[in-house]
Amino acid sequence: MRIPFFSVLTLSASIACAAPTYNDDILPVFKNNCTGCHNPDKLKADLDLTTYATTMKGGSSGAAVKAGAPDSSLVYRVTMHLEEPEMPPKKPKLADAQLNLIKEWIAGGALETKGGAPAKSRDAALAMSLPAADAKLDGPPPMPQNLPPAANAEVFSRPAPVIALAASPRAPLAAVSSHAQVLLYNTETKALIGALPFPERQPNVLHFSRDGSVLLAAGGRGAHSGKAVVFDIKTGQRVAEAGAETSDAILAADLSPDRSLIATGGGDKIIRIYSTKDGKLQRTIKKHTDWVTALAFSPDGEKLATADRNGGLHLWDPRTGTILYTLAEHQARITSLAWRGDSLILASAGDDGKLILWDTAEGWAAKSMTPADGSKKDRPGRKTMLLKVPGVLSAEFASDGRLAATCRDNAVRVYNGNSNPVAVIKDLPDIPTAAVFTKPSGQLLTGDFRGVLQLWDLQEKQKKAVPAGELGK
Amino acid sequence: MTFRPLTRFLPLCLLGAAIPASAALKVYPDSVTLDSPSSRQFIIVQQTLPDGSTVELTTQAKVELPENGAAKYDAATSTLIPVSDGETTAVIHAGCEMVQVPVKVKNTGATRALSFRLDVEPIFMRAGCNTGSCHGSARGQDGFRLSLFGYDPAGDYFRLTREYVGRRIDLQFPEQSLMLEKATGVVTHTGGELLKPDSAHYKVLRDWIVAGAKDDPEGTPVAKGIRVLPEKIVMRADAKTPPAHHTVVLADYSDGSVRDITDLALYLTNNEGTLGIDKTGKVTARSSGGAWVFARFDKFTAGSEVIVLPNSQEFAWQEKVKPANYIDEAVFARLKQLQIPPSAPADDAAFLRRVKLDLSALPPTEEEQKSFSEDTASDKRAKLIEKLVASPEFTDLWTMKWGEILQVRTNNQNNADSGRPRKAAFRYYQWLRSQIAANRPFNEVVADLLRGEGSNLTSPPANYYTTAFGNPRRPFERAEDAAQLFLGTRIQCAQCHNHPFDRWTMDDYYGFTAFFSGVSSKRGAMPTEIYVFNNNSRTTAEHPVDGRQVPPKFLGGEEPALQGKDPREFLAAWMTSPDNKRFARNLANRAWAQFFGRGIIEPVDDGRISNPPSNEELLAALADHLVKSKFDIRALVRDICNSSTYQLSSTTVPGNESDDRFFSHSMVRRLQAEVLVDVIGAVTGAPATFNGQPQGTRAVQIFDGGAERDYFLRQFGASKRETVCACEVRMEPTLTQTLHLINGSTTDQALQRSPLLNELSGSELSAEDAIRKLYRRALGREATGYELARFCERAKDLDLKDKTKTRRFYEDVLWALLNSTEFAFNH
Repeated sequence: MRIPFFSVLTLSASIACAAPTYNDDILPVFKNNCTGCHNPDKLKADLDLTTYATTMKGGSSGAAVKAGAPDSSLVYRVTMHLEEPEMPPKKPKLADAQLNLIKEWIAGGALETKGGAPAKSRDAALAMSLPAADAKLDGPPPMPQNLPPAANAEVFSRPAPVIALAASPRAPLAAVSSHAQVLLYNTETKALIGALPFPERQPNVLHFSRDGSVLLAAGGRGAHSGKAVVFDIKTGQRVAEAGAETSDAILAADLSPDRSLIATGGGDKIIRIYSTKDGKLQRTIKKHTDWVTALAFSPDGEKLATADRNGGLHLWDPRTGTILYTLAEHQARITSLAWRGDSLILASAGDDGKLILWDTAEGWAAKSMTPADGSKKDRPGRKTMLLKVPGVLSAEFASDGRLAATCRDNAVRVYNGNSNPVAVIKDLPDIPTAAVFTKPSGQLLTGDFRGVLQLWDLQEKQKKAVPAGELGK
Repeated sequence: MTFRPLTRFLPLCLLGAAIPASAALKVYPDSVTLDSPSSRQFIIVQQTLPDGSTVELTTQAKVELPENGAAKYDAATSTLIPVSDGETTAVIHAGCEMVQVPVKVKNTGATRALSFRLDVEPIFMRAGCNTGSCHGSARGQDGFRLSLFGYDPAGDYFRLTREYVGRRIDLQFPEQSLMLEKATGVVTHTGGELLKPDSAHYKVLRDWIVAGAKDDPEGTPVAKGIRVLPEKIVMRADAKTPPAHHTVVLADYSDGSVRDITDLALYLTNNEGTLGIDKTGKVTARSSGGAWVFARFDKFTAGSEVIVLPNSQEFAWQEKVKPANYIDEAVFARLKQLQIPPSAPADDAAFLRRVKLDLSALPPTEEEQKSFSEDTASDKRAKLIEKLVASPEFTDLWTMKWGEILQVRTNNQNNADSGRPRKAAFRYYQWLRSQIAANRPFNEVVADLLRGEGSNLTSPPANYYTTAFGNPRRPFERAEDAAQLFLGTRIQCAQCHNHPFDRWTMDDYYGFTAFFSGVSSKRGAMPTEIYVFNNNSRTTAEHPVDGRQVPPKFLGGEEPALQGKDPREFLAAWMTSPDNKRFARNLANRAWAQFFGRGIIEPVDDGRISNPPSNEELLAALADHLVKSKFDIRALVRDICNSSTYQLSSTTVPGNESDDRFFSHSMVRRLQAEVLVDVIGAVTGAPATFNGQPQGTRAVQIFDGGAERDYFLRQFGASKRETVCACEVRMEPTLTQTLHLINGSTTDQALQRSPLLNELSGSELSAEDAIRKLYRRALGREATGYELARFCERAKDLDLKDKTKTRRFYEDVLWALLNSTEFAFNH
């Protein structure tokens, strides 16, 4: 076929320079494939794709297009067969070129026409508004002094998964769960400093306070008892305890920024809020329909985010216990919650493979990412293991807004403040269970199923991470 | 003659010398390989007594192995234990008899790593962790899920170790793993204490965690099958000390190894009344009879037959009934084996009524009764059978029986999505009837159905695929239907997990489903018309565990090479081939059940390893003859009806009262709804009419089944034809049925309209003769002296000239007869 010279030019120009638009690029695709059903008369799923306005309005399943976020746009997800119902129904998938066009159109702001303004981009909310909170803190960063040595030395010959991992926001200090104790490492010397005994059995959660002076450890003995303990980092002394009411190990816990409250959750689906002064239970919240698997106070103390094994995620006012938002998006267990320093953005990681950044002022998903490749439909065991998309096991913000996530595809991914990937660690020998940013080096510390605690230098320009030694070696 | 144990099987060995290798003494297994330091082999010593019964001598027998040999024997557990690599022989003495068992010992130096699939997963099944009511439920239990009976070991491994990291397994302190603390009941566990901390199973789980809770390497052997030994146990019932017998279960693996899994298998029996089996595989006899015990392990179920002979009963088979054909040979052989005596042959009247009801669904007329009783020919029964089998009533009855399970049904307002348009259903019925009338080889009929395509109106077999007109069956449902209809096998379980009581795996299920993946339909010119066609490009079914596309595979057979053709062609050929034993057995079993009220396999469409035939030889012989006759159903029916077994009396004799499955006497069977209402019509002479059917249609002739529209048929359990299940025909008695026969419209109207009663009340017959006549009409026999006396007593004051009163009296007599148990049953 002969193609006139000028038309080749315009074609390549439009690809190179401008994002696709609804009128020029998308409507033809829709007309060929979609509007047989999604038209004003048939109005399948209440969705009309024949005009820009109705397309953006969405249908009975909510918004079909989320400008700037193809991966959370239904129209892209169903045509990519990432989600059911797969579209077009009972027909082969659209051609890759058409799918790409849809993706680029949404990513480019879902423009109506070439000159049109992009639909309101939710990425705007990703901009960070506050300076890093820890910049204000004075004094030398707290480091432990005279901690008892680690007990049960014999167990170190048996590698055990890193179940909980935390890094001090100020000091070169990392806390790692071990059997009946919390191990503390110096991340600069990589040496084991000592241990905080946790005879309650298994620490499942570790959180440093914002100033790094205390550490919250929570856990317990499965189907038996739970406990949340606040340790003074310098002395190793227990300064607060809570959780006598629980009859199972605590699975999720956090200390409020003003250190007045401890919130816990676990297998009994109940959120409990304790006073650190006397360890007394102040409030219980019964809302979750499955195990509470993650919870976190916002750095400003204004909000408490709680999440469960069924994908349920709620925002609360921790002082009154009133619900602020229910953030429904996850389809499987939420594994981890992390607040950005400005208390505006909450990251949630899920076993459905999603890593979602929530605008907690407005209560919607500013960005929904699928870090691990989920396009392989033929992945073995995808239904029984809930691994249609490999799950995300942890999420952690750095003080500068970078985000680290560990994924079941044996990879760790680091994103910058605009949620663009800046480093990927791939092909680990087993699943990475946690990744945190260390101070003051800014190195990434990962823990995995084998119990290896690996430091990494992030070389963001090269988009890679270079191993920088193991803790305790 | 009563035997006392020990005195009879351990005679003193005066010479002190053992007699080698007696056929009467057996050891199970007969050779042993111990291929790891942890291997153990439980052995059983069994002696067969002259009366055919077997006795276990495991604890009494003396087991000797050479000193310092490769293996030793632990008498406390009756177990062979490896010592060092090499070969040795265990010599087992019992009384004067001796058996040698070769023992090979390998790999005693090596330590075999515990395997998740080989060692851990079986314990979950044995302890009951992965049952449907516990963690095997689709949503798990208390937050933890295992695949049902372990169909997905990779998923189970994932959930145990990595789904919730750190929750279930503690690699540093294995004993403190939540899994072990829950299983031993140390912490709260809904399922309670399932393992003792000092048990071998607990140690396996713990040691696997100690070794790092590792997944299995590639190439880990998989179980290929299991065996239960001994294959047959014959015990003699004893009320005081119920006899017991152990079993040993072996698993064969893909690497050729054999493992003793007696302490890992699950045990069950198909006849709890006859025997029990405990967790160690020990069988205890409860009462005389025949039963099976089964062991389940991995995805396998295997059985062993156990016969319990009557307690010290002097049994001698008496040739009271002569075997007429191969059926009797098989039935009588089984009865001899079980020491159950058969009943006497049925008298002519009982036979005539039975065979008429069974073959034509009508009661014998007075004339038939008269001529049959007067006929002195020795082959009069055979002749009658011949006549009835050739009658159109036979065709009606068999068309109805197949119409029930082929779901020949009209859709209606209540259920628009189920059934077919009336015209299509009628065409389907007509076609089916014509096939049966022409006595077409039934395998050809089934092949036509499986290949069915084209218009539902002009190509009747296409209606096999239009069961639910508005809501087409999905491929897996079609596969389930075909398996149940034509193979007598229910594969439904294997949709989501391997069948717990049969051989079917999910691979089998989706392989069979794939035959129907392409079955499609499109609308025809008329709203009632659809075209069935096969989309030959859709030939696979998706496996839900791993998303594999599974190609068509015959159930328990090969994968055909499709070469672009309609897979159903291959399926039809395979299904109806004389080589497909299960097809012929299913047809034969369904036919048999028509005449005995239960199948040799019962339910007739639920054959599985754990539901074996009550008489394997009988079923095999019937299937063989069916195949040899080229699937001539009438020939099979003739054989059955001509057998002495069919013609036995329903009156029991001492020793066969409790038999409900070996056919030692005729079974008393309630008449099926359609037959019952037709019989009421025939007896009274006032047949019922059915909504929407032409005048004179009998209930068995209603082409789409009358259960939806007719109150009587519905209440008496006529098939609604909504599924392929034989259980759609319900025979359970209900209070409504009884009340309806007593004072419902059916009986009442039949009596009111009865021309028979008009005739009697207008005749010159004496009351006694009239009563006799009513007995013959209703029950097919002469009234007994006692019965006559009772009714005549009532008739004493009857003025025969008062027609109205006389009619009312006869009406009462007939009413009483219609409400007798004898009337509603075939016996």
